[in-house]
Amino acid sequence: MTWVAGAERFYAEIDDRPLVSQESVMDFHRLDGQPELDIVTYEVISHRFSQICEEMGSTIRRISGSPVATEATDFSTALTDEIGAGFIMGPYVVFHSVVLEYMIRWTIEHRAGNPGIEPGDMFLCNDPWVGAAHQNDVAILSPIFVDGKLFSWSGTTIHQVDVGGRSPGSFSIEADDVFGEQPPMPPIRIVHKNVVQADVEDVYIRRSRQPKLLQLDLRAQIAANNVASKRIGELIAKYGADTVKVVIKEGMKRTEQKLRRRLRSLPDGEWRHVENVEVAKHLDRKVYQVHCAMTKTADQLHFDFTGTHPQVGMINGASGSTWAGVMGVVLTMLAGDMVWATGALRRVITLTNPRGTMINAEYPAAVSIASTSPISLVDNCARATVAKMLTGHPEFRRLLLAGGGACWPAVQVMGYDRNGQAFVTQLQEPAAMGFGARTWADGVSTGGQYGIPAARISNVEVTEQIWPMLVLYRREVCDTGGAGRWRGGLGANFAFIIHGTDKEFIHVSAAFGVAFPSNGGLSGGQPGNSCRYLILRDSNVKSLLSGGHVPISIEELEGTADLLAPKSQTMQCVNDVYEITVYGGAGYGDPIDRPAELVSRDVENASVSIAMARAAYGVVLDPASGVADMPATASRRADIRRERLSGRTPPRLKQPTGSQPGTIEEIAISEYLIVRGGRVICNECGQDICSNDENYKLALVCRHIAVQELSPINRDPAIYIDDNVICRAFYCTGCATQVEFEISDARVAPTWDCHIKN
Amino acid sequence: MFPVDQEKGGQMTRPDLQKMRAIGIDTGGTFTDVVRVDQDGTIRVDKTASTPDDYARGVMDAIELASGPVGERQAELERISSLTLGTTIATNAFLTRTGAKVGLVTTAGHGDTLQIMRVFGRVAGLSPLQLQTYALTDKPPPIVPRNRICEVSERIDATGKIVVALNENETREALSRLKSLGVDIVVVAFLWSFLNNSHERRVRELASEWYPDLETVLSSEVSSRIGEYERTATAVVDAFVRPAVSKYLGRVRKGLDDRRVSCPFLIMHSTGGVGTQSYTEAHPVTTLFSGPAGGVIGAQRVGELLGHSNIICTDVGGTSFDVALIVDGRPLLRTTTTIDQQVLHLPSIDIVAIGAGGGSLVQVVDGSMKIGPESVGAYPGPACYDRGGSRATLTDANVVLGLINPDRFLGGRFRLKSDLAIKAMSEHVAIPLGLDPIKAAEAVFSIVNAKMADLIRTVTVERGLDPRDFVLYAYGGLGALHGAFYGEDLQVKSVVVPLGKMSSVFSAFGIAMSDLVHVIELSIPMVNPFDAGRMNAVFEELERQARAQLLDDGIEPKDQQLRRFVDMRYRGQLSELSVVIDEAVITSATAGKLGIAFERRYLQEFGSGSLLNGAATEITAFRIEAIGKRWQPQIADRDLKAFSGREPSLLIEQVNWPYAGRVDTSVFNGDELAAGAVVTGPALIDLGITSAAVPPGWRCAVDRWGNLEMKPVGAAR
Repeated sequence: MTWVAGAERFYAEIDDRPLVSQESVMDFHRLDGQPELDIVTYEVISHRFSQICEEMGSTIRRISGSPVATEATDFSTALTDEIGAGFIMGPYVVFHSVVLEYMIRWTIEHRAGNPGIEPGDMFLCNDPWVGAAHQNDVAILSPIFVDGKLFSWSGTTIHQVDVGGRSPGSFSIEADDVFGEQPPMPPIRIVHKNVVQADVEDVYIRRSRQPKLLQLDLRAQIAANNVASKRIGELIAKYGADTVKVVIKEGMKRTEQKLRRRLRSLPDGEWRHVENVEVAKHLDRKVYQVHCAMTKTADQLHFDFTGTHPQVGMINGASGSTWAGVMGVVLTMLAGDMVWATGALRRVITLTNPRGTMINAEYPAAVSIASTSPISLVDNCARATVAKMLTGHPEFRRLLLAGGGACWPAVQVMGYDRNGQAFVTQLQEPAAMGFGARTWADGVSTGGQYGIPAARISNVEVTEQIWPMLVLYRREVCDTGGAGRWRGGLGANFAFIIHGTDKEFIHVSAAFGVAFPSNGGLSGGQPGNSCRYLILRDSNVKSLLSGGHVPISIEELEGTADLLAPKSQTMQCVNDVYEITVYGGAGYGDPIDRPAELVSRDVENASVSIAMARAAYGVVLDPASGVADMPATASRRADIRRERLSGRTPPRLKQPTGSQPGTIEEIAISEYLIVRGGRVICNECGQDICSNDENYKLALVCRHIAVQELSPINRDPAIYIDDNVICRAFYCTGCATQVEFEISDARVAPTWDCHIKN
Repeated sequence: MFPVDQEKGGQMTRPDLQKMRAIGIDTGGTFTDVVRVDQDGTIRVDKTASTPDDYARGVMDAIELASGPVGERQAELERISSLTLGTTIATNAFLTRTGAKVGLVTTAGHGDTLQIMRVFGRVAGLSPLQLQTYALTDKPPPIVPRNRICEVSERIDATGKIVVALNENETREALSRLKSLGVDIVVVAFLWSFLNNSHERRVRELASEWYPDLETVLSSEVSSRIGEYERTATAVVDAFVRPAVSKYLGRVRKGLDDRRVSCPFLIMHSTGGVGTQSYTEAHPVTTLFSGPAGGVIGAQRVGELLGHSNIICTDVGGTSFDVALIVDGRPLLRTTTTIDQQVLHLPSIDIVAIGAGGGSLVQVVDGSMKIGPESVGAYPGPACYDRGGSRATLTDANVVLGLINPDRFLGGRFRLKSDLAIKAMSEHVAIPLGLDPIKAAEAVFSIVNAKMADLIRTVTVERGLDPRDFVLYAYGGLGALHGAFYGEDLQVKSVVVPLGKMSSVFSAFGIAMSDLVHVIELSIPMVNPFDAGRMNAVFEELERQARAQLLDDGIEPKDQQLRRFVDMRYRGQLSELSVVIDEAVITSATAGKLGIAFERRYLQEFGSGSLLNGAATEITAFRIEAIGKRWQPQIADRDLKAFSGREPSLLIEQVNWPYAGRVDTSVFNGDELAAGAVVTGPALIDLGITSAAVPPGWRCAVDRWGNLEMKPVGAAR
């Protein structure tokens, strides 16, 4: 129970409850019966809906003053029905659009009577309990009317670089509760009768360190919503309101049916994942868990987050976080070929999500990084469980991705530009994360952030033109991709010095996955690197540059290395080099199954080091030619198998049966394990592992691996945290194939990943 | 274009005007189209097979075909005074990754720029639906593998100042390594080189000193704009396609010499302008998207004739539907171009395409109809081609409806099988949807038209334009058939099938009729209040370069037209609007008014409520669009006498018009329709290769040049 009496009023919920209480004060446009709908009208109007969302997006991109919107695409557009159920969204930030439904329903329930919802009104909201992802993600909600009846809504969201609060960039790393960060704004009527309300706007922009940017972005969002009202109005004028509404409902129905069909083709069962997150606020050194159990029964998916750690520090999310994280995965791995009608998907997908946890916090928890922490944690849980479910399907396994760019290691910078003007910004380089591996290909290097379908980073020249920096290097980093039969994509690093001013910068860092990786692999594939923030203080960079040498790695520089904590604020002075290394993607499958030619190509392209080729992949390269030495490799790989079984020679030969699981009798639960006749069996060697009704990980050989072994980027977790986090590799007792790999708090038992229930 | 005496540096000799002849050739994947326009305006159109093993051979075939029978050919060949080619050489070399072995020398610390692709390379140019399934997206294969990218110490900062001097030892090592790897061409791309290219130039000097045979391409010569990824990628693509383009140009020249065709030939570029052989050899990347640009220029020419200055250009081809705009008489250009997920600093006609054309596949997926973007290609082609293809396509739907008469397709030279079209439409569309084949075909036809209209709507409104202010031109293989349908929904002023019969080879016509165009630009930031003196200095320098280039092309000063543009934005914004400057000399007064001109453009683009009163504006780049006018034939009036006194022959066919059902439809022979004739729909006008459809409730007027202009009956004239 919240200790702030009256706070419950702001807890938004989404469900199919009709908003009966509001009928007396507002007219809703609802369908009378089911008008006829022919295929042409359906296709024509639904195609137009997606065109409208894109037109809204291009409007935002062109008016917005914020690199975050125009370059990084950290914004979104969507359309919903009259009570907020999303029926289409633009190809932008997925979770922004997912949470609109909470905000719109709440607005109807609490604003229809007073001050009223009228044509020409728009509401601004960044209250995470009402549904906003976090305070920086400011939504503008615009009702669309036909003949005085509320017909539908459009919504736009832009991540604002600063909406006030204690820390520059508004990620308040020292906050104990929401009173220590920028106060959220529940829906306020910022546009009335098509006029921006100056008093309301001033309340909004006054708190920011960048009020002009807020003003410009507000104009962009208003213009985009105007586009939606105009275009929907044109459709209604041409086809009639009922026909347009039928198309909305029909589109939602089709998405629902299609997802149900897809689910029916997958086995029933329960999949689990435990996600670890470190450091709840500045100076904290503990580790916390999000627990997820996903059950698939017939054509329903259910996610249960019971057991997740209570709200703590400033790493919490409020009402919409969990749904946003789950949807990010469902849409891009299960529903990529469908219309993204989120209002329909919640009929197929349900949650158990007790209030009071990190991912569904009571007011007044601190929630300023909800978009990058809780939503990403839930995304990781949903990704791992859905991916494990898809692994066994002969066709849909192509659609899964191992862990990768789910977090956002924020780089918030405040300083003064060359003209002496203060600025606050969020650099976009963190988007240069590696994608996770696939079941059929490596992960894409510097592929982007999972929440943004089309992420982009600025050119270095643009960065240097706007801000007083000199970027020393920005490159894909060797050994950041998780090892596996298919390797994870590489992540980037990025280093700069202050250039063109003698004033220092303030940095606020807020991330997880710094003490240990957060990008989990699949089927024995390993995580990639963890993120690393580093400032090399009082370095010799200036003298190197004036001596004619451009340093291209931190190792070439001298100075005092300062590893920044996952939640920290610090100063960068003129002789300091700032460097961030972001995540690579995780691997898929046993690394020693990766063909040696691919590994030697990786070494040639500086994707994998010679040392890692030997240690993780068991590939020995000829030092002269760089070509894999096949006999030495075979012997090294045999040694690795023996090491895995603590020096024992594997009792069974790795000899895949060639069986193609996918029938009711034989279900693949990973690349290597199948369930047959109620038993879990290694499909590589035929070894019987255990009964399907027990945690097979406990029947496999388990070894602990240090976090530092995964990538040379990784540091000893003890630098950052006091709790003991370990990697556990699980091997088949027969052929020593690495069939599972997990990161865990040492106190938590191995997760029972998959329990088939057909 | 007059024959240019290469030896004398571009001086022209004036031939006998009566003998002059312009030829335009558009080489596509399957066919090479050729259009011949004589001094008196007589037009002749031919088609021949393309020759992918050596496209120059197909060009020669086309020239010979256009020059009549063998006996009279030599004289005819020697009459050619203007020869212009549209080519896919660069595009093919790039897409199939069969180009030069390119090495890259770049700033230390930034050698991964081409791989990182600003992260966006994973999805650049993909449709929204393609973005949705992450696992199926990837970056394109690299043009320069990592081991051929060398980083050298050097650094210039955002003000153009040298922070670290070029390290010549590292440069030597880099060049020697690239040389040992067998590199043909070295691209040099340093940060901020568009502000200060002294380091790039120095590397070229060193290279020519140490390895005289090593060719170099400097990023600062390919693009003068901010953005190292796009600038580097453009330079790399330029280097990559260089040998293929140069070989093609050489073969064409030789083929012409062998046939004693002495006139120079020009190549269509992405901007819709043509370039000389030597310019094209030096800037091969500019020939990307050479072909599609032709149609837009053709529309511009016909528009000049008809007094249309705002035109929506639409090309319905075999695999794609292309849209471009002409505003105030000029094609809209874009400053960056995306090809195969690479974003290039390549100015080009802003053509936007979707995968919807005659060969687009029609499928039913989970109860919804899906048309394109997959296409069956020329072989085996649509089911009705009877070449083994059994899947339903847009062309099959048109055959089922009767809009394409199987006996009159391609002038009757290629008979289609309507029973196969019906079978494919039944099996793949009608039965899964529970419709009869005609209703299914009607649905295909209507849905594809709606998608085309949506693309046009996107293209116009995104640029702040209203389609109702435009005339729509419909060309390409199926433009005449679909134009009225996708035009109707947009309420355009009228739908024009330009030059009637010519509309199906319209790109080749535009190629024949194009001028020389150069776009010269420079990124220089300036903040309001603008310094008029500095602006003049920048423009004068850019204009000097433009005039020198045009003179080099053989264009006399009187035929040179230059236009000034600045890219402007509110301070803090990252995307710009282009503002034209008409003054030859900018004064402080005109500089002062620039902010107002910008806000006017801004209001037009984004609507009221978007203005940010009091916000500062800034200039980010200066640009000159330079046009060199060359000789062009006039388009001939049709000889009215030849048609008067004879009634056009008339057939009556049964056609299923969407929303009107199966009705008797008049079919006219386009050749027999006199200028001034008005045809009332429902009607089909047979144009040889294709037909124009005049829907019920529409009428179509034929003008003296053979243009077909369609409007709904009762629409204002």
